[in-house]
Amino acid sequence: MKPLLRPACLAVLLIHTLAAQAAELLVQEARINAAPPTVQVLAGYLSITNHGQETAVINTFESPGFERVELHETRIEQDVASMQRLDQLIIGPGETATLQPGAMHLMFIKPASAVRVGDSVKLFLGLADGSELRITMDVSRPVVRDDHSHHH
Amino acid sequence: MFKNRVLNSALFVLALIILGALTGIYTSDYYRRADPGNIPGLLWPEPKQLRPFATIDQDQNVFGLDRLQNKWSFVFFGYTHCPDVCPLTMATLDETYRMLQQSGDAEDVQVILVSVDPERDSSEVLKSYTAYFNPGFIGLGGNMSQVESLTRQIGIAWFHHEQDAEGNYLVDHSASIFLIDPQARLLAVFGAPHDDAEIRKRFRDIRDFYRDNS
Repeated sequence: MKPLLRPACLAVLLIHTLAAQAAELLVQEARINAAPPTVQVLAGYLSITNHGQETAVINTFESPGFERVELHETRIEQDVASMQRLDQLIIGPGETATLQPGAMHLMFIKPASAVRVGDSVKLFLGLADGSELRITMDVSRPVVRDDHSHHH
Repeated sequence: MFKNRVLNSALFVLALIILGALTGIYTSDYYRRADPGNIPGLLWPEPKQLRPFATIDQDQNVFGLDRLQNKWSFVFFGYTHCPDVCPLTMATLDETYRMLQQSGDAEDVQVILVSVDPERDSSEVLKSYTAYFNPGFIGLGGNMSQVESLTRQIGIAWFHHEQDAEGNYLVDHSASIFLIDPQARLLAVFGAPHDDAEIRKRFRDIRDFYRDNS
C-alpha cells in the first residue's frame, strides 16, 4: 500500500499547491449574453475578487463548448466603439475586476452547438502560477443595464 | 332654491373656465420649456435632409427614402458579430420601443439596425438577429455601396480591421443612436452610453418641439 499511497499524497499536495491562488478568487455575477443561432461570438461578463495576499494574473481563458475565449475591452472614443484584445487580467490583492457591458468582457467564439437561454457554459481560467479556476456561467438574455440598486 | 341652482351652475362654469385657462398656461409653459437648447443632441435649426438611398431590408426588399417618410426612425449602426456594444444597444432600443408602445407613443415609430458588415450580415442573418430583440425591428444591409448610400449621408464612421488567419475580423463603428423625423431629416443624435428612460424623454421632447415647428 505504501508505495501506492506516496504518489497519491504527492498528487493531493500538488493539486493543493496549484489550486492555491485560484482558491483565493471569488467569481460573482457570471453570465453569457444569449444571441440568435446565426451569431458566432457571444459576450460573457463576471466580476472576480482577489481575496489573496498576492496579485493574481489570469492569462488563459478556455471553454469546452467554444473554439476559443478571448478577453477584450470595449472603448468608445469620439462616438466610435472599438474593441481591443487584452492578453491577461491582473487583479491586485483585495481588488475586484469587473467585466461588464461596454467595458472589459470575454468573447466566446464559435460555439460547437447552439447556445440558448438557460444553458450553462463552463469557463476555465488559467492563472500565471499554474493554478486553474473552473466556473459555470448561465446563459441569459442581454440586459439593458446593470441594476446597482439591489444588493445580494 | 332656483336662484341657488343658477348660482351653483354659474360657479361650476366659472370653475371650468379657470381650469381651462390654467391648463392653457401650463401647456404653453411646457412648450416654452421644450426649446431646442434644452434638448441634448437635437440638430436644430439645421436638421440634415436625407437624399434618396437604396439598402436591402431583412425581407430582401429595397428600403429607400420613402420608408422613412411619415415615421420617426431610431437608427443604429452595428453588426451581428459584435458581441458587446450591439446586443446592449439593441436591448436598450427594445426596452425604449416597448415602453413607447405602452404609453401609446410608438404608432409611427420604427427601429432600424443598419449593418456596417454587410458581407457577413445577409438579409437572413439580419432577420434572425433583429427579430431576436424585437420582431418589429428592421435590419438593413445590401452590398457595400448600397449601405454606404445611407451611412455616408448620416456621416457615420466605421472601420474594418484586418482579418485573422481564420477570416474573423472586428469592425469599429459609431455607437450613437440617430433619430430621423417624419420628413426624413436627421433631427437628433443620442450619444453612448445609452439609457432607455433618457432616450424616451428626449424623444417626447423632440416630437413636441417638432410639432410646434413644422
